[in-house]
Amino acid sequence: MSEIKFAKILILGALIMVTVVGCTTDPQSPGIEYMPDMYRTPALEPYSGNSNYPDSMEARLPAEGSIPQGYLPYGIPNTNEGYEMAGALLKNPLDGSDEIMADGKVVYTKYCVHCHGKEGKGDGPTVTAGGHPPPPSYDSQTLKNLSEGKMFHTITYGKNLMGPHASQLNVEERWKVIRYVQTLQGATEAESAEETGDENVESETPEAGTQEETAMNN
Amino acid sequence: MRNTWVSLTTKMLFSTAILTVLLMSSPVSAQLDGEALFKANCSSCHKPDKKVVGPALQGARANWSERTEGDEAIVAWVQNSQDYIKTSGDSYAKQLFADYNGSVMTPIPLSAEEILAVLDYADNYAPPVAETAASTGGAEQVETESDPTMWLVLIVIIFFIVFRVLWGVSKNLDNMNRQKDGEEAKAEIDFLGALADYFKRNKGLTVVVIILLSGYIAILGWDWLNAVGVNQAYQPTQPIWFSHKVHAGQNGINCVYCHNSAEKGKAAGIPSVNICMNCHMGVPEGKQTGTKEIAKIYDAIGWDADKGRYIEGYETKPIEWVRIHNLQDFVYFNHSQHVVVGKQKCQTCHGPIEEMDEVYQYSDLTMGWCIDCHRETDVTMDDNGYYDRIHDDLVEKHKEEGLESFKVEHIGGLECVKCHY
Repeated sequence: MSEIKFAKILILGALIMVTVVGCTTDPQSPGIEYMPDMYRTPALEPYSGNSNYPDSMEARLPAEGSIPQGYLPYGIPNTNEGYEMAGALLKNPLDGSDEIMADGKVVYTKYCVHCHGKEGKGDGPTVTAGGHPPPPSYDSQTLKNLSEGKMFHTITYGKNLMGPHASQLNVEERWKVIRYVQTLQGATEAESAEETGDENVESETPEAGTQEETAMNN
Repeated sequence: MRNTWVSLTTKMLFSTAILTVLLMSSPVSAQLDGEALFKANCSSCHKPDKKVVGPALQGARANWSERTEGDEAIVAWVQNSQDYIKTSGDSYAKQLFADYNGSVMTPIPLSAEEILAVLDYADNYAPPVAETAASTGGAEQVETESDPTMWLVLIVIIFFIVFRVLWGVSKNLDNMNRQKDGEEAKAEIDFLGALADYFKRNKGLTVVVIILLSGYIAILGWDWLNAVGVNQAYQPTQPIWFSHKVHAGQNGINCVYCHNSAEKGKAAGIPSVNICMNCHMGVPEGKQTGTKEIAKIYDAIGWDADKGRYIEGYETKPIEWVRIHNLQDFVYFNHSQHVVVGKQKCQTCHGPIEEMDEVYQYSDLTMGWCIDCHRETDVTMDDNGYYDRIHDDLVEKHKEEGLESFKVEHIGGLECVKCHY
């Protein structure tokens, strides 16, 4: 009879195991932790929450008036006059060397391309798939001759539906991406003819082309 | 002969002329395609039926032509709003400019006909209906994923029940047979007792079953012990139903657009709400959750969606995201080291994040997993001046093995103090 008892215990054990293992697959629970003191530190980790603040929010703005190392204040105000002022005053300190262009393209593909599109036509996936209103095309009449200072001002403070990107791009990255955007802005006819060969832009380019023509006719 | 030549040339000339006229006229007809003009020049700030940065365009033409008797005023206003305000002194225009936070409308280089075509397009615009209704409540849909262990248990239970029933039937049949033959019915024994009897008689089978069951328990137990402290597949409900599938997948937003400190520091960073607002100023409604989830962003930062501006003096609230990936306190992991120097894709550790509606922990994040990767991953030492000396030294050091390319372990990826200190 003892073998039978053993068998019964085995079956029971298997069932218990299945239930225990089944329970730990609950997606809402991180699972069992043995000696969690080693896992969950009493020291504050990034974004862990901080009970010293009434709202417990750990990611906070720096104290007012604090200046990061190497930081130059951007003194032009976020107004319509400031926009014009930036256009008149600011010049890109970086040249258009290949390295800077390459860096600018990297910044563009990370921070701009999803709205402005690969060619800067305002046809990025957030517009085509996500329903965001399209930004104006870089080579449209209104943006073709936009000065670099105004671009810098726009990246810093945002304009219309574009939000400020100062928290994501430092000053150097902003000037780098402006260098790259200028190549999209001043696409000559020869370049846009090449683009029509590209499948991705095929549907967009002829439309944009006629827009340019009509604008020029006027 | 000469006549035919002349007539041929005239014909050719004539047809070229017609062609030219046709070609010339075709852009003219394209000019008055209000929809195309609207999309090219206006749609960054206006919608036909809704307020965005600027007011809705529907009814604007009628309103202005009634007020200013004619279309000249609205054309001048669209072409250069600031000039129009200065020259006309129109108080309605001034008020409109003030109502929209004093944001200057870019002068639009379109002709009067084109502007009117755009306004007519807006007046006749009807929003597409079908799309949104179908997929609302997508967030509530819970995918019931089948767990193989549960199925196995279910099958065993069903098998057991069927076996029990069949046993009962056969016992009854046996008893009926015995009654027919005038024999006494067999003494009542319970099912488990009969089963025990059976196993007692078949010792070989008993041994096999015991070995199988013990093995099964051992495997389960081992797995269970290995899962202690491992948070793999952890998928907590977040305060906002934020879908990486929509943002990183469909909308193609680069990971570092939001997690921009992944390239600059230890933590990948949770985006601050202003980064959400970079897009959600223009997208107040999601395709799957409507306004419900996006309203939570507005509530956190204090954005007045109706007025299209931030509420002044609003006390912002933190969004308390639930942390999923958590390394133990005794492990040092640096994102920028892996992403920038090591050129690893986010997906290497975080899995197909661009396909996840709700994020779960993809990798187990155990030490064995770290070490495996450090043993298998090549270090790209080309085009990097920093590595030139190191590479030569390593070739010298591993002369006997004849190694030319090196894994992370060769540059110290297995040393304890690299990660534990």
